[in-house]
Amino acid sequence: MTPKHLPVLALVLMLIEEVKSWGWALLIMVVGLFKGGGLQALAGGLAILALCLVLVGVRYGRFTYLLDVDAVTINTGLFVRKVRHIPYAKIQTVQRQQWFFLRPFHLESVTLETSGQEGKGGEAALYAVPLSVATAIEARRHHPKPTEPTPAMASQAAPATPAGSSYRIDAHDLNVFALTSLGFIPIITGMFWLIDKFTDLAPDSWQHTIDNQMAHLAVVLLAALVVIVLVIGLAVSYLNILQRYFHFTLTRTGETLTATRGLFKTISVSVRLNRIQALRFKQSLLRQWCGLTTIQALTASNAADDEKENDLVMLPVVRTAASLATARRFVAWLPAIAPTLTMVAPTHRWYYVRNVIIGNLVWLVPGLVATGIWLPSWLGWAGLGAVLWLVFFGAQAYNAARQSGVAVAAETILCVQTGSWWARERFYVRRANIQSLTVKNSVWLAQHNLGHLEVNVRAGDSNETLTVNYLPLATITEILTWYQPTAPFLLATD
Amino acid sequence: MGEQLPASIKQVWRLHAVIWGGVWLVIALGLTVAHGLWHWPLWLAGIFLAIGLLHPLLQFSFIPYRYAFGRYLITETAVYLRSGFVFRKEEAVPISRIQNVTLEAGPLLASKGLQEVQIETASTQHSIAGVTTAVAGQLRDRIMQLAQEARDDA
Repeated sequence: MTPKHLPVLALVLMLIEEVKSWGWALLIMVVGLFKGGGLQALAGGLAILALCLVLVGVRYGRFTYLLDVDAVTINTGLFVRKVRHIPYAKIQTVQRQQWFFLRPFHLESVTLETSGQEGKGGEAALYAVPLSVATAIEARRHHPKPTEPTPAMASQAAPATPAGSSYRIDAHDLNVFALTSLGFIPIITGMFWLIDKFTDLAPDSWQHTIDNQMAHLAVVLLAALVVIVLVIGLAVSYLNILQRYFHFTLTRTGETLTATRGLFKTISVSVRLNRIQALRFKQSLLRQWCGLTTIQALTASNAADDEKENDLVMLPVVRTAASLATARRFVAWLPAIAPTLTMVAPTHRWYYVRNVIIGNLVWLVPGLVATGIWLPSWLGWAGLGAVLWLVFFGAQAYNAARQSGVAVAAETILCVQTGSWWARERFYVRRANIQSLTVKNSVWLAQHNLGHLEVNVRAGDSNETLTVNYLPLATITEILTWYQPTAPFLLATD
Repeated sequence: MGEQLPASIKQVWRLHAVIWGGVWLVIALGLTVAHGLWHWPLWLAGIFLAIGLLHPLLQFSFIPYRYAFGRYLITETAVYLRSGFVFRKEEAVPISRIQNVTLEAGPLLASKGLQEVQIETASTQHSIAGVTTAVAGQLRDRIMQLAQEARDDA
């Protein structure tokens, strides 16, 4: 078999990627153009585009791939020739992305992920290849040779997995999911920021015109502008979520979970069940009120169904009451009933608030003193800002304290609940997936029989620490001995 | 409970503090020269001189505390680490989760016949500051042997 070149359409995708990575430079050029940089900025922009073309052309020309008997082989490089072998058995996740313009050609991009860490070649992308490529890879991945040794991390077999299962989001759920999303916050913030920055970026002549017009605008019209921004922000966020999670489908075939979604770009991610390190049941404050939960899977590889996130969305939105049962159809090791958590005692919640306030005062006080010395007229506003800041973060801390709790959910499962940013996150972790436990405490906390518990779980390429502070030492001891029956628990032996 | 680090680690830490002091002083000296040559502000040198005195002093004063409360324990199934008294920390790392063990010795540790043991799991790193070469070797062999035998509980 001879290695194949990618289809020509791959060139387009590679070019888009390359131009995207130069986006910051192009942005500077555009700003320069507005600021009157004229020809220089234009020339710079064109030079970057030309460079992208050359780079991508060379990369495309040198890129060949081959689906071998037991590995995918990828050849790259102009001066330094590189040949990569990715054994099918070592592929942790397969991500398939299909932009709408690839559909008529029956092509898609395939990203293969191995557990090699931090981009040290742990990932390989095949752009715009025929659909048969991913199907072939999946088929060979699911039938590894029986002699293949089980990796240490995968040694835990899920108990009695029922046969295949599938879930498809219905229109109502998708609608509720989009309506209860808080994705509008960054969009609206971004829009206000843009309006604010507009005066810096726009040419002076525009600015004058706008300033003149603004002077004539009544307060009512300004309020209308704010409302328009809010409405656009909400609409953009709503439609964006609709198109991203369009036809969200989760299926389990054997030991593999596959999530498919998207309108313009269909994304399909498949992960082996034994790569799931923990499940996260997440509820923003809004969704807590509506009784809805989002379920995500923390995986050991970058099962990214999104460029920025490592976590795979398993179920975008599900009724909280039915969440555990629904998730159990896909992940059999989950407990049948939600455990009763040992929460942070109400009398100890103020510690959370106190710590946040002290932590913020450390820089707020010097800041206020400096304002008082150099900008005394601003002191009142700065003081008000500082108080609002403390109230906001104090409330966050109180929410965290109210939500934090922990329990051994079943013989081999730990349940940890934390709170952050108006949200509640409940994690279910199997004992085998807890990489290490840390207990912290101080002389003073020891007197109150309290301590902090940190549970370390692998998420993506890095570590996710689930922390519950100010737990009774008795609870911590119980969890430590559940984790390691021989644990000496040195803190208690002083 | 647990093993204390070998006493010679204290000398390593002291030497370490002295070297840091030396580094800061060399920077301060350089800045003084820069003041003479190019009229850089003298207070820059002053700051580094102060750091050069305070940093080693702090390190020195914490050596007895660090030594007295640092413990490690290796059982058949797990490695336990503990440090501090005022602020205490205890870590439990099951041997079945350990992905690799690295023994490392810079010139300071090597001169005292000590090695640092670094333990890595799939997501966390832990280290035992210094043990004698013989103990380190035994440790590594034991952890690797157990890691091979160990199968996660299921």
